[in-house]
Amino acid sequence: MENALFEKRAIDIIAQYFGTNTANLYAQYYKDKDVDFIKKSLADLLSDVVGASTTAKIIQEIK
Amino acid sequence: MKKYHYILIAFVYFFLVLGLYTFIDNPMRDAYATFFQSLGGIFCIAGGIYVALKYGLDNYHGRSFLIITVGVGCWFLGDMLWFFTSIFTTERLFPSPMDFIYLLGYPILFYGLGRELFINKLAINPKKYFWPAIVSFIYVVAVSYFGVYKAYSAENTILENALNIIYGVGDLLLAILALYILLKIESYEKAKFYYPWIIIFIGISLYLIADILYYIFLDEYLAGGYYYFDLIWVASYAVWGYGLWNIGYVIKEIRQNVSNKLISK
Repeated sequence: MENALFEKRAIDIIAQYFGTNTANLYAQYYKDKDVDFIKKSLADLLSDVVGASTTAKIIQEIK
Repeated sequence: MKKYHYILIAFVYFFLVLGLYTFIDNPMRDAYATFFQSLGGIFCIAGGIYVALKYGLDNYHGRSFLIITVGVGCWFLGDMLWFFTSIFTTERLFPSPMDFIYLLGYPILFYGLGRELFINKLAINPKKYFWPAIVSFIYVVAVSYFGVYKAYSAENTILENALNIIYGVGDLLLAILALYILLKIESYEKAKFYYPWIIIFIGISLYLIADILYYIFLDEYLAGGYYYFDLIWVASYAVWGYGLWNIGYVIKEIRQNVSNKLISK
């Protein structure tokens, strides 16, 4: 998946789960970062807040 | 406001109401204590507004929590109007417009809570159904028996019976939603959303316990005894509000963490 597309999906998920203000901050943080970095950061964030199993379901849907 | 500020305020408030009940005799006790018991709903409303604003009202969850807050707000409004009418009359006003305002809170609350509970793609483990099912079964049986079945009385009018039964059905649906909260809690696997939802579950449980005791001891309660039940409602609102407030705190914490990362970037 393209970098920009994955980044957009990750930001959309953060907006959906934690609000637009949080997503805007993450959009700045993910700027110029590669897919692997964003994937790991998103997985860490989600598993920290909603748990590993639910995170796995969410991440699977992005792929 | 930090977590311990909320806990401190809730404790002071709880013991203030307890003190009013213990050290002030009737009729002053009834007036002050009813007022402060009704005011307890503010905890839940404040927690709900806090979490709704942290998500933002353009967010699905933010709107869900706002709807939950409006539902609890109806209870608060009904309670406060009951208090103000109790200044002018000592008779029990039933049925009254306050009953309709209070009952309106139930569908609004269910809509908000339902939106919040059924949206997330929860990874529910069927092996963990046992305890939620047992706990929920106890609530459902107790509310069905005392709140719905026993609510009917041949001496009451049709409207009185209907309202009594609707109160019971409202609690029954709340007990069923409590089951789904337990399932949601399990899916969080002790992540950051785990404890706030446990606290919300405890708050709703206290509310249901107070209502069940009210149904069982209604005559004694209305005669002026068993007024300590009111404290369970106060505790329920404070605990429920604390759970809501904690969800908002988690969102705030996430934002702070990423802001720190941006600064150190």
